[in-house]
Amino acid sequence: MKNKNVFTREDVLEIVSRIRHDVNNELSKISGQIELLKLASLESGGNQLSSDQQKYFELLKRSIKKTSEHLELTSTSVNITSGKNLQNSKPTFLNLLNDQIQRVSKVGGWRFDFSSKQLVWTEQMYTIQELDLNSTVTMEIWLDLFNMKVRAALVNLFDEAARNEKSWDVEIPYISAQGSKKWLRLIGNIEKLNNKPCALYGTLQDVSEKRFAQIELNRKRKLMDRILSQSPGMVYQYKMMANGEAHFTYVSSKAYEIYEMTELDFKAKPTLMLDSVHSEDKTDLLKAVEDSFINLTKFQWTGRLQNPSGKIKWIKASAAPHKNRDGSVIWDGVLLDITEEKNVELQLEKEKALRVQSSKLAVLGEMSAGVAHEINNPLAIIKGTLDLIKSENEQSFGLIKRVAVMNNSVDRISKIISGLKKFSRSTSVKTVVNCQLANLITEALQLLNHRIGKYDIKVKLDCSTDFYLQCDEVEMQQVIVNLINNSIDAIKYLNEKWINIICLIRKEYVVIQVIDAGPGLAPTAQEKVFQPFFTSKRVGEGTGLGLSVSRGIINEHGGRIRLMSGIKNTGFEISLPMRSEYEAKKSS
Amino acid sequence: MKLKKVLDVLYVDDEKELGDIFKDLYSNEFVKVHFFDNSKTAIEQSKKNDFDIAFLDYRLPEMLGDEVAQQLPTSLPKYLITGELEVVSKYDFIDVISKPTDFNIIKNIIQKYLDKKNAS
Repeated sequence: MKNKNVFTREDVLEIVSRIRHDVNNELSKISGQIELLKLASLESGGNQLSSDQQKYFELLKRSIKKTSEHLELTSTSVNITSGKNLQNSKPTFLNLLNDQIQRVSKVGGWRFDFSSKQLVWTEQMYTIQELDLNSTVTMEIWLDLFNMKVRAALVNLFDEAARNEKSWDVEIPYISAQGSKKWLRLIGNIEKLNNKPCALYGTLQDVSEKRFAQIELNRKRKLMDRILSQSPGMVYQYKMMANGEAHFTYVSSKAYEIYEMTELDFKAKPTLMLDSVHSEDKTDLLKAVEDSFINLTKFQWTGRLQNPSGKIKWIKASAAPHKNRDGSVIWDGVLLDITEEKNVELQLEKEKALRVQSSKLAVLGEMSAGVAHEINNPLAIIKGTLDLIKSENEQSFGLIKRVAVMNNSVDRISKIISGLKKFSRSTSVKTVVNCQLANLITEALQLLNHRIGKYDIKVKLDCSTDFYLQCDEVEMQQVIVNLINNSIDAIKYLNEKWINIICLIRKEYVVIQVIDAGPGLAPTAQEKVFQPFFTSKRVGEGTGLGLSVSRGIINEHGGRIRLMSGIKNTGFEISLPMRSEYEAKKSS
Repeated sequence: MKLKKVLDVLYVDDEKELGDIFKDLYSNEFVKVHFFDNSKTAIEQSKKNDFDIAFLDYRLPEMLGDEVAQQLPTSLPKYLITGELEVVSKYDFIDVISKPTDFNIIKNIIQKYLDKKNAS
């Protein structure tokens, strides 16, 4: 059953317009009558209206005006007027005001009734869409004003609204018949009767100025982004509240490159600046920020970033702070990726250390040549004297025994001196000879005797005297000395100190293993140990050349050197083409 | 009875003590050691005397052992004795003996030349 007491919006609208129309007509008649009365009284009587007459007329006119205004108020409370009615109605004060407001804000109102399929709208609708005030308006005509895409979108919106009671607020492009381009904001709502959608109504606003300003702003921002993206560093704005909370308020696109993040990641992570900083450099950064925050001095910081990929980057940041009234501070600044420069710098430092080291080695070489001569002369004297004592006291067994001990000592000193020879060699001519492996290693150990003794390292050599190698003795010894030296450095401060040197035959190769008590190398070091300049030792302690040179030497001998895997300690293994004792004898 | 010949050995070293030891070690009734602690005198004397064999130290004050060797008579057999780690010699010595020397090595060389001289 239809409830007779419930009026539709359309009903109200119609009633209001009819009333207004009728009342306005009547009011017009009355004011006409008043004017006639005025004229009649002027003609009949004197030149002037009596003050009373005048008072009555004014009262009447005011009442008429008030009535009209009230009437207008009623109609605008419905807010929607039919275009035609608007045209026909007399321009009243409120009408004018309403019109003014609509014109200034560039807002028009419209309503579409589902049952009557009638579209009505305010005068502003014509103005905004640059239509002729007398043109007829239907939904079809309206939709036809828009381009195909917009039209489809609008049909969709209307449909959605009718079905699912969805209101909308969209901005759409519009090109008038006169060719002017506009942006229109279209707001739509559903109107219900008996809980059923009966009409659509809403407003249309010309938002071109705002929109074009927005577009211009976007264009400028893009231009700025583009220019700033060409900057070698990231340009940023960073804000810190009085309570210490902080975030980036602007970053140029370089930021995503430096921090290895997408724009979204970046926005989702306001604490990023601190989170990405290398743990060792955090304190330093916090202090720099704090100083700048408190003293409003220029912020400057150089440190490392650890990116999600684990890559470490060196960055240099500087920014000028500005304090806001609320106590927050904003910094405008630049952040540069200086990884490359830093690496070059570090490399230079390393090379410098190496140069010092190698010049030290050269000096050592020269010195050992001089020292050898100086020591060998007195040794010759001692040895000769011993020989004399021996020959003069051949009957004294005890003396001969003592002389033999001293002779032994002289031989040992002389052997150590000749060991230095391997390091003072200036020529690089390779002399490949057959050499006994056990001897070679024993000699190498002898050279390192003082270091081994100093740190009390237990050395075990397990090598058959049958193993022969065809090699450059000096170079091979250098490799073995290097490996043992590395072992000593690795274990000298450990509780357990031992080095095992094992020689064995594997197929047609002689294998030399140097294993020490060390806990093994980190997986990352495993790949790098043979690279030149790699060193796990402190600057000045190692050249980082040892293993790479060793590898070169072993390769030249047709062999292989590798880090042993599958053992719990650290071990290096050299394999060299074998030469049996028999073969060695035969060829010599 | 044929008299055994005496071998004249020239030894040059700037270390006088080494010369004394050398003399004491190898001199006997058949071996006469002529020691000089400078190369100049050694070269002069080599022109006046007929030495059978020469042992020269490498690092001598005025000139190096190989330079001395070049100025000694060509027929004189020459050995270099050196405490250097490595010697690149300009002269082709019969052998290079390293310091400190082994008593037997020198003794054997001397004996060899003595035998040779007596055999001739």
